[in-house]
Amino acid sequence: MTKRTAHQHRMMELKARVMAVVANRLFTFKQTGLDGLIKRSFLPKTEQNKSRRGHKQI
Amino acid sequence: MGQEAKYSICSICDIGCQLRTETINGEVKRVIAHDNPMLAKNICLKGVAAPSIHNHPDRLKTPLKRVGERGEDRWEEISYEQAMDEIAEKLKSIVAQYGPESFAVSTSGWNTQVTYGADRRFMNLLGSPNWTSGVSLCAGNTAAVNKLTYGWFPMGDFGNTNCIVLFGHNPKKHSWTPIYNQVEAARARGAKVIVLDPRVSEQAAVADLHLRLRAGTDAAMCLGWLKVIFDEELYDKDFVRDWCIGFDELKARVDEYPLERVEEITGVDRELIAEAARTYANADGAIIPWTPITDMQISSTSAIRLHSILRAVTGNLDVVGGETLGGFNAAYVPESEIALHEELSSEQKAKQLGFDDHPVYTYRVAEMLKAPTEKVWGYPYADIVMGCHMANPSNLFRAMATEQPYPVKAFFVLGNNALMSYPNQHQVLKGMMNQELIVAHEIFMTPTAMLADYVLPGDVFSERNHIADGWSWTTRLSLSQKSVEPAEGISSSYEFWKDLAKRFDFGNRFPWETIEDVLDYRLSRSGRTFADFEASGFMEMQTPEFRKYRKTGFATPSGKVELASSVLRDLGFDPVPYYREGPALTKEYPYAVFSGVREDPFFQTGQRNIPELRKRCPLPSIFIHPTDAVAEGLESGDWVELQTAYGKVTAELSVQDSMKEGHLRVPHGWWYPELRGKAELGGAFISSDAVLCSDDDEFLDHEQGIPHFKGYPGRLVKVEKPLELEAS
Repeated sequence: MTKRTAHQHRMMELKARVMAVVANRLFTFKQTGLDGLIKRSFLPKTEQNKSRRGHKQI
Repeated sequence: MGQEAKYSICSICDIGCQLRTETINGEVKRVIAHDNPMLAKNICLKGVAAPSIHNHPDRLKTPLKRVGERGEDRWEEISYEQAMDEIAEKLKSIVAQYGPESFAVSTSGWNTQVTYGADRRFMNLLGSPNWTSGVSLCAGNTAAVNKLTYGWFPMGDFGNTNCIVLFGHNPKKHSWTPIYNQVEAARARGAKVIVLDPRVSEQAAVADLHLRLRAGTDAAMCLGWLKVIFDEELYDKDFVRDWCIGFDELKARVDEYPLERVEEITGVDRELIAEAARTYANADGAIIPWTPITDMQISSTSAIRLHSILRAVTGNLDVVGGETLGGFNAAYVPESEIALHEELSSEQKAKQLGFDDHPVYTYRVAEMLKAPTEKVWGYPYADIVMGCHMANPSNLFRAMATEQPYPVKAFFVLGNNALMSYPNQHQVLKGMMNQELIVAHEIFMTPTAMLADYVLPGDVFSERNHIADGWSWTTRLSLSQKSVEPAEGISSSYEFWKDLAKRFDFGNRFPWETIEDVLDYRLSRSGRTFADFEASGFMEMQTPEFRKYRKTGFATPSGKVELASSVLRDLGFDPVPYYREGPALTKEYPYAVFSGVREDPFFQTGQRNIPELRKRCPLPSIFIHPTDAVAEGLESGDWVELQTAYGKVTAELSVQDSMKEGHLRVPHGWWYPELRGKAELGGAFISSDAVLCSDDDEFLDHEQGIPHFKGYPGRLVKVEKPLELEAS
């Protein structure tokens, strides 16, 4: 059964909430600030993304 | 105009994949995967075919008025304004003569997409309770039954779960695609997958455990699982003690189902049953996602309740990795509020068809749950997956046909091929033939629309703006943008109801002129407009909260999880779940027939007129096990009639090793658009499974009035290919 200690519940719930906040940033159109940072950190580094970050394209 | 790409939510099936629609000079050219990698896999061959649907030469573009006999399929083109004027006048006359309850609506939410509760609002202001939908047989009814136990319809946390149980559900790459992708991702993380299905379905073939139960025995199987879980003390005793009522009553019922008995009923080895129960119960985070199979059985209410009970007693309710009770999204006004259910009088609610004999998803139960629903979720009525306060379709079509208990004389269908979507097609047809006014709002001429007095062209997802909230089942908001302008005679379902309301004395209760106005209103509590939402992103989720019941309790009369349901007890039903055997097989009808098993190219009765989809599945197939085929002297490619005591379906036979012996699968929703004008109602009576299953009370689930689509008696007879199909 799903039987966790109160602490385990709290930790898992905190992680799920943080992940939801991060996911929401990935769903915005904003490419700058925190949204941009999260996108660059979590989304695959496509050529398009690299060029947005100013990387030299090969 | 040039070339553009916009965000869309596909409405070809009920899943609502997020996609991109590309247009060139105002015409939809391609529908492609989402540009966000997290969503890019959520696209199927139906979505890719959307341009062929949206630009199809047979799309309805001008309102039509019947000129021949009903069903003769002869029409004159009229203007939208004339159509709406005449419809309003006729509806007023019918309501004046027979009362507002004589007006009924059958609809589907996914392809109409932007009704936003306007249909219920119109009906509630007019005074009619007789709204129904395909969701009465699929998901909407599940939502209503879940509410009996813990007050909401949960959503599985696929991202964190360690065990997934698929009761007959078979998400595939091209059917229920996002669910398939989530199951695949969970499996890759190491989550166990248990499949219960008579067939070796695609999911069953790769499952950790596959239980090939006899069709229609889900409730008995769940009782067996609970027997193991209780006997081996695999349940969350603290949660049961603190948050559940009725444990002793439930346990007494479960004790009536030792595994020997469950094995006998289901045909599954008792050791395998026990292993599956232990696997589910011992997982740290397990889910039983919604399934269309349990929705449609003679013990459906009990089986759905047993899923709910399994979630609760194993500690999987509203926890990470389990199934979360999302509630309404506070940033978006729910359809439950827009629908104005409070404005329908108690007297009219009590006239809802099904209220007396099959009340679980009618207003009768909604009223019983009103106070706890408001206390916990903030609104007195919770329209989850549009369901929860619906007329029972069998009662409705019986009233349309027989005028008992009162006449129903006006029937509107929106995005719903009603003639082929409910059991007992004979009665549905008789009911429709007995109407004084039928209005269809559709994108193509369907057999149902051919029976109408007026046919109004509906729009498609590329022609409207929309924000989806998963019909309040999720708290996620997703963007769908208008890509092209619809033709002049085309309306959205919201516009249809608003324009009709303007012709009644409650037109001022529809203050939103456009879809964007409604969306502005729905977003107003978060201080935004649709334009703001559209500019900010394509999706947003509420930050999840878990174990909310610790603050609010559950939205049930007791405030607890009701293992023994007080609502069912008050209604005079058995408060604890039970198993009821379906109609018995006989020498005359020796096979257990089940409807369903999706064909990837189609959703329900649609898309048979789309060449690239139809070529993948040109004709309907009945599946049979090789042993049974040999016994019948039949082989793949033979044409057969599948006969029951109520009707017959003609289709091609397909011999499949994946089938369970003694079972036949009949496909759902087949008609032949190419036979329009050549066969009655486009061949609606050649291969339609809606004709096979009785909806007499003895064959219905008691509490909901759900037909038994999973395991009714049938037989096979070899026939020649129908002449109409041969010619075409």
